Amino acid sequence: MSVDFARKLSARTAPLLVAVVAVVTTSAPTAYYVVRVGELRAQAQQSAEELALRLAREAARRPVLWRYDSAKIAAATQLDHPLARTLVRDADGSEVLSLGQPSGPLVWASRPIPTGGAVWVAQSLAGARRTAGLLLAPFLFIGVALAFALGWLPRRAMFRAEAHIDALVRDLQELNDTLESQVQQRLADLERAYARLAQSEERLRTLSGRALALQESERRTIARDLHDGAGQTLTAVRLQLQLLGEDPRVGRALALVDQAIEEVRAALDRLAPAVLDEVGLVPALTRLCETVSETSGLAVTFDRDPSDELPETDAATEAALYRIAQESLHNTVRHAQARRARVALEHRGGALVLEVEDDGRGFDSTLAPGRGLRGMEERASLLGGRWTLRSKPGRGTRVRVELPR
Amino acid sequence: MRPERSQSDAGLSPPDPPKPLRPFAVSLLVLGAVTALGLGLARAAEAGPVPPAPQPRAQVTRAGDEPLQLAGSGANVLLMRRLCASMRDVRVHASIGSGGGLRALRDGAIDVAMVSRPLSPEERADLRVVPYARTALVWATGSDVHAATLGELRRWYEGQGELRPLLRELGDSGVDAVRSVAPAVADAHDHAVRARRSELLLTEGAMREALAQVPRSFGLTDWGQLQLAPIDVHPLSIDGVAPTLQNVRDGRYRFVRELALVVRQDDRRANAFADLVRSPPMQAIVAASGYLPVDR
Repeated sequence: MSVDFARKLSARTAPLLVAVVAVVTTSAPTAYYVVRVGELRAQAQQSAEELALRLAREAARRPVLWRYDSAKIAAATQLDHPLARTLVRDADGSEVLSLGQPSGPLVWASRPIPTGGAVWVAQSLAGARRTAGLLLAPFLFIGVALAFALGWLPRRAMFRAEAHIDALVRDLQELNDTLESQVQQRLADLERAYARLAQSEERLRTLSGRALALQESERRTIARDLHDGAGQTLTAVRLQLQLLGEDPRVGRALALVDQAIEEVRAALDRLAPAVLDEVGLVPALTRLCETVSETSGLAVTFDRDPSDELPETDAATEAALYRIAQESLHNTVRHAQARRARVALEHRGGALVLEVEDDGRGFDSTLAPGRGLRGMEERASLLGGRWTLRSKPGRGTRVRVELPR
Repeated sequence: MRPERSQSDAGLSPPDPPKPLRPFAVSLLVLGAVTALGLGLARAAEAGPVPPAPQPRAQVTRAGDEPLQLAGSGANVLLMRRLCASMRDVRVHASIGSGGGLRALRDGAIDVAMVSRPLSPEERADLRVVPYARTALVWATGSDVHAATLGELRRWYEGQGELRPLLRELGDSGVDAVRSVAPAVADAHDHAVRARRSELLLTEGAMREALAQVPRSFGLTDWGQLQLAPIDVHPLSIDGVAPTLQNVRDGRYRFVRELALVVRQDDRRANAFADLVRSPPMQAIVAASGYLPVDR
């Protein structure tokens, strides 16, 4: 695409070039005409003086009749400088002589006659005008040639520069086109890679979910086996020990068995909260809040809209939500020095949203998270969810997790 | 999708300058200004005083006892002074030309105009023309040349001969009389006048003086003046005809000057003078002076 500097230059310089043509065309003829008019006026003045002198001599010799001989005297005077008009006026302003026809442009000069009256003579400007007019043509040619040179030389330079710029623009355009196609190619590659990555992430999330579900299932199986096996066995051992009487050694054995039963129960609880299998997620969370309140003195509330119907959830999701709530309340009890805590669960936008917040002392959430926090985040991430923590010193802490359904 | 990029985005075009006035309009303004300047300078150079309108001319007032005033063509002066030599109440002025005499007569500046050429009908109006003498127009010279042809006269006036021409002003009645017979010679004279081949001689007396003083010159005068005021010159025979009164009377010599008086018809004194000049005694003096008297 051409910027067309030459056209813009022409538009800007057109008045200047017209001025050059006009000035060159008119200056010399005008100067000639002005000078020539001055010469003609001087000639007329000289003729007037000469004629006035002759008439004065005649008037001195013939006070009356000189007037009637003035035509002859004037005719002789005109031969020195041919005059277009000759007027002789008497002392009273009356006409003594009038030679020539009043036609065409004239330049006048006058001279008083010493004995009275005046001489007026005129030179014709027609010749000067005609010559000045003839001079217009060659100077018009010179002006046009000069203007052409003044206009064409910058234009030619501009044409060349413009052609060079056009070539550069074309090169840049080609470079741009190449770059564009490369960018498009890269974008397509990136889009494909992103699609593959998203596909992989989705697959990974699915696999993670399955793994968690399998893990959770395995944990529950282990927990049931442990409960039905080791737990029942220890209970049977304890009953048998009780039947042995009150021997101090039996007492110690019972204490050990009770300790083992308690440890098994704790292990069972860590492996799979039994309450989930027994009552489901919402009652389990309700019970968790009540238990924490009772055991720690922290006022824990559980917000749950009864009209908000939760969708079907798998065991891994329920376990993750429960354990995140459990871990968050555990952290609150242990670190927050809070008086109140709130747990909320809702179904929003196709996701289960769990929030746990307290009015404790809070902390700088930009610092590196501890193992418990990382575990919560990893658990949510493995299920394709999003875990966030918001806390500032003195402003409490809020944990939020969204798990897709 | 490929993005749209303007040139300005690419940094290839200069920023658009302010929109100028239309070049055509500016060019016209410039052209007009320069033309107006040139015309203004020309007008300023031409500017100057111009003659005022003439005032009406008042009639010349003269005293009642003034002598009779005669003026006009210089060809009459010598003869008229001879005729009026004994008249105390007549004054014959120097030459003011036939036309000047007629204008002076109409203005009342003189009583009798002396003319040496035919009058136009307009000039004749309300005037009385009284011819009183005739004579031969002659080309005189002080050289040894005594005869010439019309062709030689023409060539001499053109500066191509052995004699130098002496010239009268354009419109001289003698040259006009020659024109009626030999226009080529009269035209050659006028051309020499315009070419300024020599100084103009505005009166008959100036011509006679020049003929006497300028060597190898020739000029137009008349036979009667050469008789009344002899100088060391002689008239040329033209095409073999001598400019004698007899040849004029016979019509062989065709270059003739007729002298006449012009008076206002209501001027009894002037009319009486004209009648006197036409009287036999006066005509006898005319004949004795080298002129042909008019037939009564």
